[in-house]
Amino acid sequence: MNGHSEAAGSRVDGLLDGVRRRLRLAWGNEVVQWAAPVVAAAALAMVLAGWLVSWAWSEWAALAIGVVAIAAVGVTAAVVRVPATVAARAADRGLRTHDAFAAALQFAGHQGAFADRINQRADHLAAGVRPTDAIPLRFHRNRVLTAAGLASLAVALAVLPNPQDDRRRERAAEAAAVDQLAAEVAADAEAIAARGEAGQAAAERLRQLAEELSRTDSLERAQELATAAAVELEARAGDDLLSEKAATQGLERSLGSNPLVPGAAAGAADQLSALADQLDGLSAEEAAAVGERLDALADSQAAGDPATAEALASAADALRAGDVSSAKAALGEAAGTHTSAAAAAAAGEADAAAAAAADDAARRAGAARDGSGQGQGQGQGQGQGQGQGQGQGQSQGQGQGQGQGQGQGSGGSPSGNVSGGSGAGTPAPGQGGQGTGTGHSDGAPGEEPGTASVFDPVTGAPGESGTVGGGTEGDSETIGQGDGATGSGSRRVPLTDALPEYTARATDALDATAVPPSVRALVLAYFDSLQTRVTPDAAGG
Amino acid sequence: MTSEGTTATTTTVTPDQYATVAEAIEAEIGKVIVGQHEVVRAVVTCLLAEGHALLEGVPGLGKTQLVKTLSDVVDLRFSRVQFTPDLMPADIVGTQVLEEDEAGRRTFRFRAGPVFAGFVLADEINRATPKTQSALLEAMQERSVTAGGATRMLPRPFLVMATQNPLEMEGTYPLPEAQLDRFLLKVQVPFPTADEVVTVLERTTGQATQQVRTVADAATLMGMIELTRQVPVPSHVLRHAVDLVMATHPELPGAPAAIARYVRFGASPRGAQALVLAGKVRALLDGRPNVSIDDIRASAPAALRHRLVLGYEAGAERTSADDILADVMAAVPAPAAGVRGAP
Repeated sequence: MNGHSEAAGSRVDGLLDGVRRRLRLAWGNEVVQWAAPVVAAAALAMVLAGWLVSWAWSEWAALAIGVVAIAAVGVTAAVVRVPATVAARAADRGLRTHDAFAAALQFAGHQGAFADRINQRADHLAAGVRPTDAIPLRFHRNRVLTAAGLASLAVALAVLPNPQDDRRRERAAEAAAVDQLAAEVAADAEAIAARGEAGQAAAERLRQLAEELSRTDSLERAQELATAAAVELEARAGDDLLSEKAATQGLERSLGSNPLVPGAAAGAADQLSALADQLDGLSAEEAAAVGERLDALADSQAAGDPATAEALASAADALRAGDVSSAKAALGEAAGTHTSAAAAAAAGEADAAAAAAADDAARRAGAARDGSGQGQGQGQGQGQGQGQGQGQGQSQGQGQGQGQGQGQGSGGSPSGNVSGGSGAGTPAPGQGGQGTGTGHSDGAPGEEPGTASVFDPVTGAPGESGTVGGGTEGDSETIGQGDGATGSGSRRVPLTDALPEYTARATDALDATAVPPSVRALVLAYFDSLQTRVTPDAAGG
Repeated sequence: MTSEGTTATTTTVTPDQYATVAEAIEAEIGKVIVGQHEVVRAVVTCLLAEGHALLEGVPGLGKTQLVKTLSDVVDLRFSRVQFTPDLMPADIVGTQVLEEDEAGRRTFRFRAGPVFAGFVLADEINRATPKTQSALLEAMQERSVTAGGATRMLPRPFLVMATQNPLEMEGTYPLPEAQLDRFLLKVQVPFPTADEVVTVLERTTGQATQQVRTVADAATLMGMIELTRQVPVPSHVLRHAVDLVMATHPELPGAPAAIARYVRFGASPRGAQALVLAGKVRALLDGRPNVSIDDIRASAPAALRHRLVLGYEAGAERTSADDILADVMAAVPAPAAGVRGAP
């Protein structure tokens, strides 16, 4: 092969290299057009799904489908293997060179007149030819238009306001609220941790709660987690925390204001230890005085710190018996138990604070949930067209008396259910306060016929106050005000008062109308049954 | 074996000379034959591939005139056999005759028939009985004749140009499949256009006669025939030729619907040989040094149409071999580059 043939080979090789690259592009172009309608349809389906369900990621998923598809085609086109023979045949077909390049490639090493002529012809054909001439990019109009239409529709649907947007915003707000809760719980944990060793366990539990909250986007779940943490922390704090705390702090305050040993350190445990050291030098009178003081201190500790109380009492008894050594030992024990009780009280206090923080988080989560659910609840109520009144009365008296009233009645039914308000208060000094309540009507059959009441359309007037039946413990008095569906302030009367009138009117109606005897008997039997239930004594007689 | 014919010496021919001489042959033929360029090209293709040609057409289209003109243009010994129903095989290949010399001794001497020529025109070949038609089998394939217990070689180049009328014509006998398979190409001679007929009338109804000159002798033809066989064929082109032939076989899986329905037997490997040889000539005539897919596909109808053995349904539905081959060509398209998006 002479130099000319080598140059020819380089020209053909150059063309085939270009054709190779062009083939990759053509492959990508073809695959993109082939896949574009499918990808666009998938993206559209994803966007449409976002209109039906409140997926926050549907539009992003649709975008990701398109991007991933294009990226996959691009990467594959870049790495797809295009052999030289394929490039040669593609060039031959594209340039209509009657297999000149494929033949040149196959017979490159051959000798003979034809081999030279083949190479020369390939060189001649390769001169001045661009790969773009050999491999034109084709466009499939229908596919492109279909894909463009689907993609445009997907974009339009993604941009237009979505029925699920409100729900998405709510969920985002919910997630933000949960994140805010988590941050606040975490801050509470650090604050409790700053209390020292006693607060570490409680702080760790709050940190755990904050971590759990950060992993959820649901206020409901957040409320559950916070409630669980609060319950756990409250259990750890214990029921006797207040008395224990009062005992330990009381001992400290008592010994701080009236030290056992003048000039001793301020701490109770230190004073007890110092007293033990000085017992040997006390006279009998001084020992008796100290014993009395220790008895008094033991009494003050009996409720909250019985171990310390017992040790102090033992020390006092030993002093009175003149057993100094036993008194010293008892005082040392008292110092130790007091120290332990104080530490436990501090830890319990930290637990209680953490429980309060968790409970506060649960409460706020619940409040946020209720806030987000109000709209739906109101809508439902309006749709049903039912009016409900709910009343709640509180009574406050001396001490801790508290009254609560709730009335229920039926606007149109002959019998109603009224549950009276109840007041809880301390029996002796308490005096029920006055409460105001609003009636709640649900139309259920009366459960307590003796106290049942019905709406009296004759005597009731809007805005008029009435008495709602109920009992209070103590001397509380509950005054309720009807505010139900039957009209604000409508008066309710006991069923026993209204039933005779109802019965008479029903009987008149039956007499004035052609009613079959069986139906007439049924109606009369109904009112008889009502009468029987309202006045059991009459029924029994 | 005795040697009756002689092989012409060979003149080295370059591809350029090849194209020039072929062009001159076609030009000379064109002086006599009006139009019919595809038919002339097919006949010249057979000439340069040393293959036999079967020309089919209704009477009066110039089939015989074409072959006679070709024999005038190339310097080959020409003989013409008019096939008739009473023609006997010995009338073609020759026979032993009893001769008596001056001394009175009698010996059998082989009198060569008209087949011993470089260029044999078997005119209206399908008017002879199949027995007589088969007399050409050995000559066409082996380029030899066996008669009287001796095999005699035919001269080179040896070409049989046969003409036949459509089988629907009265007094015709279908050629045996074995003999049909020995024709390189079967050329359908179409009816000329009106303008061509006018030209024919102008040339043939006056006093002037067209004279053609000889442009190629036997040695040159042998050189061109040898050059034809030297043309390289890329492997994928060979494969495509095979694919086309295989697609004509109804028993093979993936056969086109038309093949499965209408064809009893597909083309033989001679069909693939014919495709490649005709493709080589086509490439050289086009000035190209290699055979292309297009050469193969362009040669397919003429090279394969007479090799399909059609079934009853094809005749009943008047489906021709060309119709079936069109389906084959559609079912076996030119091989793509193998990459989506490539031309």
